[in-house]
Amino acid sequence: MIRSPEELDGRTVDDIADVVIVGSGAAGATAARVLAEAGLEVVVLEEGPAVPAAELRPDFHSGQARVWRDGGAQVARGRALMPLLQGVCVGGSTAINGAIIHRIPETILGGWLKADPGLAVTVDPERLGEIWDRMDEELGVGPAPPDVLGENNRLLGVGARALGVDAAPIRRNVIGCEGSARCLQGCPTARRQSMNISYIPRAVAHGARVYTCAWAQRVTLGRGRATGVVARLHRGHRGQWCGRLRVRARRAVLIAASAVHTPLLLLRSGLGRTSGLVGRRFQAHPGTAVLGVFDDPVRMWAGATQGYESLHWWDERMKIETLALPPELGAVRLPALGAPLIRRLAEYGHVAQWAVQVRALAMGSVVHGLGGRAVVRYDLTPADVRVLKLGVLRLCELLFAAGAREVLPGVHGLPPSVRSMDELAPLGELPDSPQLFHCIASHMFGTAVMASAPKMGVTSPTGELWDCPGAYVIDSSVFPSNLGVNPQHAIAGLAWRLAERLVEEAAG
Amino acid sequence: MLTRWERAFLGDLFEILLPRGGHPRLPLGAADMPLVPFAERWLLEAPADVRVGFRVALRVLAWAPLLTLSGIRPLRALEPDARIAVLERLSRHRLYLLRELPLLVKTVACTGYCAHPAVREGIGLPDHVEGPPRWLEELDTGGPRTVERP
Ligand SMILES: Cc1cc2nc3c(=O)[nH]c(=O)nc-3n(C[C@H](O)[C@H](O)[C@H](O)COP(=O)(O)OP(=O)(O)OC[C@H]3O[C@@H](n4cnc5c(N)ncnc54)[C@H](O)[C@@H]3O)c2cc1C
Ligand code: SF4
Repeated sequence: MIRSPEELDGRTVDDIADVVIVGSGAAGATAARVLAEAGLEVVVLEEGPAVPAAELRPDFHSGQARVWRDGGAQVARGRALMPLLQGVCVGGSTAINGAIIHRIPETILGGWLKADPGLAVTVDPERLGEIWDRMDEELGVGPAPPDVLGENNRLLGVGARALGVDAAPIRRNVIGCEGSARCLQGCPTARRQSMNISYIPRAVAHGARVYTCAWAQRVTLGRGRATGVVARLHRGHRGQWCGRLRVRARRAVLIAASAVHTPLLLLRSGLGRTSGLVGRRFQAHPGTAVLGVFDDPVRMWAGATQGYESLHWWDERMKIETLALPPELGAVRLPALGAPLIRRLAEYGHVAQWAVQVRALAMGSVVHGLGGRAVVRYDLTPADVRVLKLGVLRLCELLFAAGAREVLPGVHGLPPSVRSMDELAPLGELPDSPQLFHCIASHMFGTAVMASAPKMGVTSPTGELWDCPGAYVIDSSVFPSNLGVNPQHAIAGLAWRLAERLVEEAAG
Repeated sequence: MLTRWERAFLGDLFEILLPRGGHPRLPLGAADMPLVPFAERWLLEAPADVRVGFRVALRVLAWAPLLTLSGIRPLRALEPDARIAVLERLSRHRLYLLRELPLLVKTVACTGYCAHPAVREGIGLPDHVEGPPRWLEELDTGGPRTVERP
């Protein structure tokens, strides 16, 4: 059952369940699916609304206003401003993501276990592999087939082959994708198996109750353990409050509000403080994009939003992928104003866009701002900036190799448009400053890290808070590091693992 | 929520950024659609610090000629070509925050402009047949929806 605040208007509602889950994204929905199917009574609290596919529109703003956190204006502050993109709706960020699927790379898993062998209780590569196999099956994971690639994706293959660079179609969680390149606005045909389409309905079918527009304010405590969650109900936007919800948890409270919002809930509830690590060690995969203009039509709007990638330089902390953007966003990157901008827009159908994301070394912090908003501080290190510079050069090279007649690097200090690699030579001499680029981040980690000793982490390897039995963090806040690959499957897989541990415990 | 001056200045900025008749397939300009009401709506939905930042940005942009050493007159007092030149210079300014300002306004302008079905059709997007988004319908003052091909 999915209950909206309209049904509960103006009332204080009390509910009780075995497990209360905060957040319905990759982590929360997966845990709900596992726990509900195991027969536990589950309540999910989701800050955002449920948005049916039929209500999704092709323009960017309709989605931006409705399902993007702060309308896309949540930013990390440092020497440069970096938008932190997140969904706030049933399905969380999975409802607006590019459908790219990866598992946690072996070297990353190995690194975690080497640094803290005690994590093996849950971070068990073999079991995680089985879980991911199962999820692959349930979520339709497979490589993007040629007929939905479209030119933006296909051309990356052309460029990569010309340069001898490894690249391949992306493995995506879609069933019958029509290649409408609208993933970031929300899939209008419900083909992407985001959590609002897959695991939330599945959990609901097994009795889970989902409250939408329910902002978890704090975790309640009793006799030294978590006893439930108090939430405020709103009418579509936080601030338009219209009721309260108190949910008692017989067994556990699972926090899956994302690596930005989980630490805020912990801080509001006074939890996880003993380690001093809540909201610290914020990590991300900042990314920036380069545009190429081709003689032949590219039509970014025809094809999978993200359908081709290269892990060729993964060891150098960079990953390259295609990214079709609607013209609203693409136009901002076109280096012109006035009539020249209109002319550039008119040839938008000839533009390809590819991006580089960096496994950054930088660490930042998340603290509370006004009105429950996050204040994130984050600054790329000079080494990260050097990786970005190299990534931009490689994107330009790939675009030229694919036949681009002109490349728009989007780097301050470089010509806005170049026709040969020679024109990019000054990049090396530019300072290693994040202010050169327009970066965004949509993969975030590490703000309530797990560890086998209370001094080293906020939670134990089972996700349970060291200082509050019964309260668990199950999203990428617990990840000891970033991954270098797109994280939804990693997050969902670990959430599954942590949830099944709870089921085992419940079974005695 | 914007003051009269802010609305008027923003309308000017939008028209500088997205003029009418820039391309045969995109004959509409910012003046042909309700972009200022859209910006107000966008601001209402934005967090408070973004709202404040945007209004400060407008004031700074008004004096962009000074900041780019292009003269002592405000932006609105310049000829259209000179305005574009000043904004372009500002978007290459060595101070990061200053060069982000034209981009902020461009972001709002393009978000509204590119949502218009006539613009989407001109760009070649097949989805223009789905009609305008509801917010545009609500704001629209009855401007043209389809492109009249020259
Ligand atoms: C534009 C975009 C593209 C992406 N593309 C990809 C991709 O192609 N592949 C990939 O692997 N990853 C991608 N990601 C990242 C991926 O979607 C996220 O890493 C993943 O969804 C995070 O899972 P999560 O459960 O931690 O958080 P989320 O999925 O963000 O879910 C958290 C949920 O908690 C809710 N919430 C927060 N605070 C509260 C509160 N106090 N009370 C109640 N509810 C609350 C939020 O509204 C949200 O619904 C993308 C992300 C974005 C934004
Ligand atoms: S490309 Fe289009 S059809 Fe395919 S998953 Fe994305 S939005 Fe859905």
